[in-house]
Amino acid sequence: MKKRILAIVLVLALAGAALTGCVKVVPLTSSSPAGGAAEGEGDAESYINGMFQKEAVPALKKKAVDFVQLMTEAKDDLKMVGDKYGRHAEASSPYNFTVKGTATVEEVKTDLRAGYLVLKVKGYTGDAVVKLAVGPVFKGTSTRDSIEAIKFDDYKNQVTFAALSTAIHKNITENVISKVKVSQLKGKAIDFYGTFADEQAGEILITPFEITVK
Amino acid sequence: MKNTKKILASVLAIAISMAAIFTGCSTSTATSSAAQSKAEASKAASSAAASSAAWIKADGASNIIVIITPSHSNPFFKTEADAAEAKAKELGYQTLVLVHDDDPTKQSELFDTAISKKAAAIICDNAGADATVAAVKKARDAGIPTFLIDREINETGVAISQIVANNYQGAKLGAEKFVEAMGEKGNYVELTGKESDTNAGVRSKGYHEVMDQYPDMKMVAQQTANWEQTEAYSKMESIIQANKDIKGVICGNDTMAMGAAAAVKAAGLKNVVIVGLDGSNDVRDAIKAGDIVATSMQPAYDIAQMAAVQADQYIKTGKTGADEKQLVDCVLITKDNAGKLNNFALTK
Repeated sequence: MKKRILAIVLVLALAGAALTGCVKVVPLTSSSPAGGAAEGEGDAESYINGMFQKEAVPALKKKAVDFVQLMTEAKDDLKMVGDKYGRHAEASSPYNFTVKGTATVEEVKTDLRAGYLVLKVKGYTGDAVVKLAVGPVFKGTSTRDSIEAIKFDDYKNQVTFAALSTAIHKNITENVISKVKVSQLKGKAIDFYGTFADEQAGEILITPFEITVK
Repeated sequence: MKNTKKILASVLAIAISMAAIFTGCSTSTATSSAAQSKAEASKAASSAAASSAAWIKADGASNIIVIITPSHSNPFFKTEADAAEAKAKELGYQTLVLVHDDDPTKQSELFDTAISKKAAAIICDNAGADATVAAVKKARDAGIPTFLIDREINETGVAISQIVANNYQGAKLGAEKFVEAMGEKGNYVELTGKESDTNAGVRSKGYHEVMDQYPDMKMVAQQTANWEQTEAYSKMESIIQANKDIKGVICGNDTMAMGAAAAVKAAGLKNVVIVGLDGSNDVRDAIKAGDIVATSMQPAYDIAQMAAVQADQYIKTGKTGADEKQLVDCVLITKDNAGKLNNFALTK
């Protein structure tokens, strides 16, 4: 009799537990401070490696405006030509421009990891210092932000969106920067294609997607 | 006979106590059972109509825009609430301003409040990227559109707009300045934000995307100070005692940067590079005084006003004219432009 009671009680208890589904699941947050798995990085790299050279670069080359022409039309304010030549996600974001040009490399600055070349662009008479980024560290996201096919709306969150830019810089390092001998560029003439964001007055930092040493 | 009664009684008692124990074990996102059944009832009633066209306005919608943010003790959230309220009022709405204190359960109850008031729209800086999805869905099912600001949620197609500050980009900007100011080398400390806030992880990730590319930069300590100034101070005190040669402290937000700066000063350390994130007036003043090197300003004021404008557009025309997800860039604040910063907005 006692055993039967115990059995009934156990069954009731188990039934109760099963019915209320009392298992607390702690949700994995999509981003944990430091040490969390790289969110979306693998996907971003395969996406970018699949489309950047084949689709994005040809499209960017097609829409690239001559640097001197852009700066001449803009006079002192690139915002004036932003709608005509540039691309920006929000009204308050800086415009991103895709440009091409010919230049002489005046200086090679690679003592800091955000390395760059100081360019004297042929035909440019303005005051802005024109720099061409050569890495290994690349600043900003102007290349990603210039690609028409890429929209934040299509991405889960800003972390997966940011991974695209990281993947683009890696692709540029492997396909563009490694093909030139950066340390030997001083004094040389180059043709370049690149993007830049109108962020800092007086300085134009171009991330290249093609460099041809003449 | 007596025996069976006794047995039955004890079995019942055990069953009831078991039930009581187990139903007490609810997840953190569960609403109270009364609210839950009410929500389920209204969901059932409107789901037939709502299933094909999810954006039908609730019958007899009021003229109230409900604004829900974290606690106003952080001036960032107070600015958001004030800016959204001002724009909503300017556009002819009444407003109800509420705080969820970063508690998803409380946030869910506040959404219920908005539903019971048949709000015209909800503007919300939310309490969790996963936890908030359900709240926005139930508002939608009750015919109320939600416009999210500052923090995003991990699902699209539920809120009308997600006007998000680009925390990741802001963090990268701050880290680039941090690295530059430290001469690309040295020991540094990172203070991270509240773990339950998605942005804590986003900012730390953005920081590390930059800093981890510099092999001579060495992180000697990384701790959370939960976005709090006093906690940052006491954590830094202990960290300084354990690590003498600290050259920089990078903080997930401005209030923690203020705490870290005070601790560094109290310890008599000189030339320590400190960077925060948000763009508060306090840090602006500290930058001017030379105690903090930089911060990234989140355009809280603009974002909140954008939400009010888009809510109004949507209410009147059924469209906002913008994508759902809108990423608004942060602006780096240093000594050069600190003078133009006030209440999370830059003067031209």
